[in-house]
Amino acid sequence: MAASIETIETVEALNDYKYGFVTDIDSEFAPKGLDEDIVRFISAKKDEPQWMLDWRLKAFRHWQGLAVKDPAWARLAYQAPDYQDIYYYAAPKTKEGPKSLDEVDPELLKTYEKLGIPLAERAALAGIAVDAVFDSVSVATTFKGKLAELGIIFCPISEAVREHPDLVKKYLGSVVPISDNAYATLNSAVFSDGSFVYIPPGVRCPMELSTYFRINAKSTGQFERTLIIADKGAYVSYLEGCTAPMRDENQLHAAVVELIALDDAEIRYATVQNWYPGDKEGRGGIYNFVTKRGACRGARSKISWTQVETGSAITWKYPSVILQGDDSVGEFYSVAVTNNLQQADTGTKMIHLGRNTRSTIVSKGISAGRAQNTYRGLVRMGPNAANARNHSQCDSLLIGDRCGGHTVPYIEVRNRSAKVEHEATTSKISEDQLFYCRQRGLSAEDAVSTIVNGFCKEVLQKLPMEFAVEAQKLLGVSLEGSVG
Amino acid sequence: MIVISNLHVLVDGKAILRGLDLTIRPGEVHAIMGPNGAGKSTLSHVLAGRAGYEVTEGRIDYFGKDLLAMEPEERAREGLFLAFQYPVEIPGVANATFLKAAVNAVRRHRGENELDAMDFLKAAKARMKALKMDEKFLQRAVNVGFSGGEKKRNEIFQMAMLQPRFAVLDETDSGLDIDALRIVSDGVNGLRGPDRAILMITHYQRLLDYVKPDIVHVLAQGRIVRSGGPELALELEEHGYGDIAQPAA
Amino acid sequence: MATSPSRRPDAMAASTTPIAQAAPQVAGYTALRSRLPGADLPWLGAAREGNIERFAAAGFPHPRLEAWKFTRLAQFADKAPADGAPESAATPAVDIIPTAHRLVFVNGRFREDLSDLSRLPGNVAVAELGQALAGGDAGWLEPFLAEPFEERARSLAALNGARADHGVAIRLGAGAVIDPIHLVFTADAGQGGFALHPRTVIVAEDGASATVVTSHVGQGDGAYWSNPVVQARVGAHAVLRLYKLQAEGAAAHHTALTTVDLAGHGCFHAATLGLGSLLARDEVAVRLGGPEAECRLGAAALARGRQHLDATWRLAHDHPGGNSSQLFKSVADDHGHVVFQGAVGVAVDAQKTDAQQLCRHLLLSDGAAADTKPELEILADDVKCSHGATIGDLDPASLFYFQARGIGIDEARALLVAAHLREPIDQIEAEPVRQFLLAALGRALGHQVEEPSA
Repeated sequence: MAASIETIETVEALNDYKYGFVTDIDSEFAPKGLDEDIVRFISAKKDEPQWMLDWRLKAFRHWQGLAVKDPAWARLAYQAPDYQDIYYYAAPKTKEGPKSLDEVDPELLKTYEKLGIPLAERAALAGIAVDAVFDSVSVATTFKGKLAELGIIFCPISEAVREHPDLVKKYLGSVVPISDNAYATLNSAVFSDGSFVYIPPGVRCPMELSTYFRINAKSTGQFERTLIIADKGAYVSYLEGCTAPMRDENQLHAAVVELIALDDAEIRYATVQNWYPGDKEGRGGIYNFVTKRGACRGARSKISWTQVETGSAITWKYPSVILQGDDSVGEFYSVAVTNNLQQADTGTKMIHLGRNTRSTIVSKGISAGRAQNTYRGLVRMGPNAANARNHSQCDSLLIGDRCGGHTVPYIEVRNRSAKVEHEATTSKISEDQLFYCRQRGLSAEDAVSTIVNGFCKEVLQKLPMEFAVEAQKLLGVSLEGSVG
Repeated sequence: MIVISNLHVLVDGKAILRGLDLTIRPGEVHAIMGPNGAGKSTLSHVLAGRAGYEVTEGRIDYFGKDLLAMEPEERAREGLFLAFQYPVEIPGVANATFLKAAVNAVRRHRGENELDAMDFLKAAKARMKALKMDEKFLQRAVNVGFSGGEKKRNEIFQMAMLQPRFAVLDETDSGLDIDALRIVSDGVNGLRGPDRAILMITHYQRLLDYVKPDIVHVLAQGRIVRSGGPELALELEEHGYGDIAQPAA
Repeated sequence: MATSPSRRPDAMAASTTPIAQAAPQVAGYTALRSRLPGADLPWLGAAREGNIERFAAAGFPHPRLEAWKFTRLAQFADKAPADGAPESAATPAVDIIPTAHRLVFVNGRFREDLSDLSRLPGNVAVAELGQALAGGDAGWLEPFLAEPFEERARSLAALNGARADHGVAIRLGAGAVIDPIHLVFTADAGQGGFALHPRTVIVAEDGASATVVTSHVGQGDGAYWSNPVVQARVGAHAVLRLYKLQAEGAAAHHTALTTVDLAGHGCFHAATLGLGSLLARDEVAVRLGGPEAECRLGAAALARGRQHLDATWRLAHDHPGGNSSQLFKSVADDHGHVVFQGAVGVAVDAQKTDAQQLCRHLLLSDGAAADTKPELEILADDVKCSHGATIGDLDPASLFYFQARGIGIDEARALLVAAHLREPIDQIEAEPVRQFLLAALGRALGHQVEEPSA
């Protein structure tokens, strides 16, 4: 009966009171700040089993006990976030978006144009209600059907916690433990959304998995948690992000990504991210603090990270690979662009534990304006890493004389048959190169874009094709105004 | 036509060009010779719009337009081409990519349709055949690892693709052996025509055996001190710059 | 074969905090202070007091300081000697450069009988530190001896600033030239348990040219501590060549700081051969403080047994047109551990800087270890800066080439190791100095290292 249903709902709503919230039943926000009640609230909202809540609480208590919650050693100057002034849970936005492209900020549309984003996607990215554009739900459904046939699991992590608890229990936190660093600890306590991928043995995932196809992908979570497992002999290529500028009221983004590759498996993880950098004075930009780590658990496994990062006010990320399995391979290809007042302290860690392991690092840092761009890398050869090999190439390109490009590599070797080769160069776009391009008819900006793309070519080639084209345009757009 | 009137140019505060006058009409091939330090390179850079050269007096009229008021890429799109003495390297940028961008920039400016990849490749390959260049060179990065001769040939190839109204060749023959010189000269000769003005800046007379100029000038002490027909080049070859380099009283 | 961490002399946990470890040093200073050279100079007394306070506040350096990340002093600091050395009348059997001007110190005491300053040119002043301070013309030493080493990572230099009781003051007038001056610091290790804090100051006025060689040699197995500080100022268009042999005793600790300030068009070349001590930390900081200055740093280090050898270099390009190069070659065998930290900083207006760095480590055994941190901090854009580092074993192809020509593998390895290490020494122009260092290297390797035929 209708009345009893209403009663049940009222009683359920009353139960929420015990978490100490405002009596407004429609509220979908937890209050600001972080305490144990918030963690419980998040877990309950996601309908999580007890073991998941326990895991979160363990992380939360560890976070509380940390004396230092921000990295002091990175070359970054910023106002540390007030952790009690942040919302840790907000339901997916169902606010009214623009009804058509006419209502969208023309500057945004111009950016999409410059980036070459297909018309069909522009509307979706601008927040226009999905069903007014095309039926993305049905697209996603067909796509998921095909994956299911192969036994591939690709779903939000909250769904995986409920539907595939054994897999999650086995692998969550096994590559980035709760205590790894302050942001990983925070993320472990309050993570809200993210991807879960499992590729069964011997299966090659037939398509690029992209966050774009995830339901609700457009609202970017601040504490994303991603877990990707490639079982023996499996292959998956995963794309994250897109070139459209991502604005978000949430300043702090502290994501955790864990990759696990078993024997003969391969995971390729590509990121093209264009965070809102704040205004020309650097105000209001995103703080992008991410812990990304891959474990090559199995023999002959391979994990490669490819990233094109631009935009955030502060970037702090070190995608890493732990090369445990013998003959495993780790790769890191990166382009990091900073302009105006942005700061990036980014790089990679390659930890060689097994025999005959190989790693390749190619890092291209571009700074312009008054930006500071630091590559920080670690290559460690453990005592058992016989015949391990690393080759690193870190190049900085400085545009203008007010920016900085820094390289801080740490190389630690404990095995005599391991070989490490590291090279770094710093240069600028020469007047000669610029003039040569202009004498052939290219505008100054196109000249910079051409030269920069040439500088980054080795990295761009590693991206899946559609991403590569967008990334090239993104480089041009992010360096606009850098050559006076 | 191109009319340079009373051009005075300072480089690092030092007067290099001191009242240079020169007129070049479409269809004409001019050669400028002169001792080192006379200002030959300065002239080519000022024509192309390179920063670091201060024009203190004078004017360059380019087919009715004020050349000195135009940005370098504008001059290029208006059909001015400089074949560099030391072409620079641009790592990671394929020759094909670079040249297609340049060709289309010029075409856009002229209101012509842009070439797509297929049409561009077709045109490029035809030109390369004429210049005896290997097609693989299209995918190589611009001038990276090129020998001197290959760089100069690349300049002429670009010129052939861009079809300029006014081509300035800055010491195009420097560093070339006989075979390379012949190929480059054939390329230049192949681009002579009634709509094209060519200015060759050269230290040695050798190039002029292969690309016969209509008019030869001597640039000394910052200005043109003597002009004449092709036989002037031979005279310089025999007697050197000594007497002639003194300006006429 | 895995090796346990406790084998390292420096890896065990300390029993006390860095600041508590400093207390015996402070007490040692307090006991000696009235007898230190220049006690009658108020500015020097005040400087010493300031420095001991700074050392007491910072304590011994620890791995939480980025500059000391790879070198742990904790275990040493627990029992670092605070007393001066016992007198020694012995004549140590130490190699010298026969043709050089010479000052010899044994256990921190100047030995006039073993020194030779008889042939100094008129515009070059060389004196033992105490004598220079007593001479009445000590004003020029003030900026150096009063230097406050404020960085916590430089606390050991601050201790030297308080304790320095011997050393050398060298001053070259404008345009003066001097061929090698050899400063020999020997330790007769005996029972150990003593600390040496030598201080050397070198000033080369405009246009001067000097070659200074310092030897730090220890005889015997006693555990002593050598904590030298060298400060140099090189004037415009002046040249200073500073070469160093570190051959301290097998149980000794050697912590050194060399700071150099280069004027415009000044030139500084340094080469160091690191062979001795149980733990050595050789820090060199050069500031290119004027345009078009030039700096070349080279070092070869051989770490065997359980030796820990650390070379930490900082170059600051503060002005345009500077030119620098760094070359570090090392060999680690047995359980030897080599650390190289090479930082290059280019300031915002230091355009047209050219800075190159190359570091090559050879690991010859399963217990050997190498840590490297080549760092670039670049704020100017019109620069050419690069660095390269390689770590690995001897190249099998090279070894095979020797074998294919009939040379046995052991001899092949020995030849390749010598060739690897000698490169920074081969860059020394002055032949007597080069011979001197190559001979020292040869003795360490157990076979002669020959000069290549001309």
